[in-house]
Amino acid sequence: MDVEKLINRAVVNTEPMFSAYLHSRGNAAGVPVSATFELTARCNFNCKMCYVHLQDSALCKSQEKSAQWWIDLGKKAIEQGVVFLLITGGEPLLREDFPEIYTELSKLGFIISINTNGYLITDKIVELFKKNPPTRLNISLYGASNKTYENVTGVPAFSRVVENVKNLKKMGIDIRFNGSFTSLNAEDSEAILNISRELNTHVKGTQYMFPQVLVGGKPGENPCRLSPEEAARKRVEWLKLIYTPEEFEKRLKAMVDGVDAFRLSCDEECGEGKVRCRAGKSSAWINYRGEMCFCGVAGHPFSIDEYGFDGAWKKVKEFSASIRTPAKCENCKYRNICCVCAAACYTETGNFSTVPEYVCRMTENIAQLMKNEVERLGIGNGN
Amino acid sequence: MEIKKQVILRSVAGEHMLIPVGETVFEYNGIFMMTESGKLLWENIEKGAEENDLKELLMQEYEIDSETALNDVKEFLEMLKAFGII
Repeated sequence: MDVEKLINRAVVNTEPMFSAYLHSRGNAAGVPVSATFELTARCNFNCKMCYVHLQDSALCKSQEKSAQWWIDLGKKAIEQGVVFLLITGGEPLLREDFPEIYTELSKLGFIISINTNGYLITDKIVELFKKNPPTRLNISLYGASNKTYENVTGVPAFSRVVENVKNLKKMGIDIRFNGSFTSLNAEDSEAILNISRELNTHVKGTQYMFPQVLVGGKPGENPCRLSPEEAARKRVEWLKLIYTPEEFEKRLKAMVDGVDAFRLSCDEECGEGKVRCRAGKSSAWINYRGEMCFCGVAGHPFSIDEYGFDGAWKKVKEFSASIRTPAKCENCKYRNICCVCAAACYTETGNFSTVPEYVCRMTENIAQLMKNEVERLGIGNGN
Repeated sequence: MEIKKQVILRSVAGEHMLIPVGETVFEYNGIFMMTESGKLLWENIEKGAEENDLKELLMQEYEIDSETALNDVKEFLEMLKAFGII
């Protein structure tokens, strides 16, 4: 038995088929199959790369919606067809009324995931999760040591977070580590993967950080993200780490095939693009001020108090459908392998229709690095 | 028959499903997709219907013979038993 292969398989995160299927049904019917409830923008960490970073904590708290508001919203979300509910922040466990909100939401019939930094897993939270376990906890792991944690978050929290994860795993909670790699912690990526294997969690690594336009940052800026070249290098390194050699080779071939397939299919110049993902088609984001957006990082909110859940969803759908992304991206040979999206265009450039150069450079570098791998392994023409 | 697990029937975008809630989430990391007839059977199991009641329901709703209806009901109940739901 190839144990290493099994372990590798265990950590690679993939979306369940039923989720992909229900979202496709939601896209076709205009039903919000998934929703995110951003309970707060406040956080006990101070991560410089975070898209809700540097907000006035007292002001944020004063703008938050009450526990009852979120519980009522959950009931409306059920009526509108939401199945997958992601509870996030800031740090959602920072809310003193989190247990009240979560207990009520978990009775309604959602498949619930929670984004948390894993620091505030108190005895009370453990008891809460024993009675009503989330389907998954997504825990941001910011490094593989207290020192890296202090650099990234301002808090030397690594040991405590890992202890909390061990306890949650013992309870049977399914956990995914989310690694956000920046200039402050990118060197820890392999160690984070090893911790994930040791603790038997899923893991997802992200090398692209959105600019922080939601909190007044300039488009195209994120103070500690990697350069596009470095982000590309770390991305390819990550793929080599998480996959077996055979799986990595398959991905290389798929990438080459994807680029070739686009070339072959593109007889005519394409026009502007539209939103490619589920945002505003089968997915809604409700921020801590009680506003619905098509996407969590690209703003353009509609007040739920003013329009109601269903009215805001109609507005969000209309807005998402009205977005036009760059024609250049639609005609790019790397379209099938690029992570560009409407939110990336908006946060990188200030509008949806301008090409995000950072993303271009990152993708071009990934393509070149993968091409180098293709040549090294002798598995294709490498064009 | 007794429902042993905490599940909620949902119908979304034309699809029917049983979603685990409470401690049942520990046991099933997913959902149970159901057909239209599965939904009908489950709704009536929740109301306390037994095997024969379910057979009658299928015969009325789908205009099928007794043997076919009974086989379908048995198959459905076996599936629920296999997952420990009833």
